[in-house]
Amino acid sequence: MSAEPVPPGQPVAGTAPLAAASRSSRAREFRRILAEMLRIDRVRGGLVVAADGLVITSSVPRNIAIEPLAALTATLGRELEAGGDRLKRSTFHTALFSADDGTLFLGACPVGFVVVLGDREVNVGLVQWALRKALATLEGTWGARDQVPATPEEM
Amino acid sequence: MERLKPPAAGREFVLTQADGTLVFSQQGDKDAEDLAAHVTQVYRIAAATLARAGLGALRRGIVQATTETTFFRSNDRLILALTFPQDVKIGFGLLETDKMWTNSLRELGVRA
Repeated sequence: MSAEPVPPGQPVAGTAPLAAASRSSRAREFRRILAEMLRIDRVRGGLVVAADGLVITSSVPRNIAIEPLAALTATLGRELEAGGDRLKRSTFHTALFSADDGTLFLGACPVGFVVVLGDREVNVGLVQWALRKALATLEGTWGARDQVPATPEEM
Repeated sequence: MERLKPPAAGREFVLTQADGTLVFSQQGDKDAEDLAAHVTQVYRIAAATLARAGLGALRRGIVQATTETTFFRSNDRLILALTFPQDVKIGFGLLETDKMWTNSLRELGVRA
């Protein structure tokens, strides 16, 4: 006896609860990673965005509009990835951009980008290290694991 | 542009205006234009992102890829990008980028 084909978009019987559990566990993992970044002194906020700019999870000060920031960070990440391809460079991993009043950290992960906002006194080396650790955790779940030094000083 | 010789470890060096006009590069014309276009585009989006995050004007950047690390310096008019192999020490890269930035401004007769 052969099973009836399942139309596209329809859940296969018995797999829906598992898929939902997996999504829920991934969502928890994103929130946990972001919460760890937010514990670093002088970090003001952070978000995880999909490559198309959709916000996966976020925590930013009330005066910052999340959606436009997510769209811009995803655009920035995509330009760093696409520009690297155009110029025949290697794969983009992380970036930081410092301004008069703080620093924005950006890391590429299998689902999109992790973004951290620090004020002007933030410990740049510590955030870079923590970000790489977070990216390695995400890559461990979704893909290849990145090399992370044992301490910020070794970066 | 005599003083704009990048450090021995440097792989690529480009200086552009904020509007994308190429000022100086080590590379051939086509490669330099492509690199300048990318650097300008990154600068524009990063500047807009920092402004949206309430962090102010873009001054520096570091982009790390698998085999290279690129350091940026900028003001309202100029953008400098200097690329090193991936294993460059961040402090060394920042120092060399600052030297190139100072020399570039001096060559162009611009005050820092």
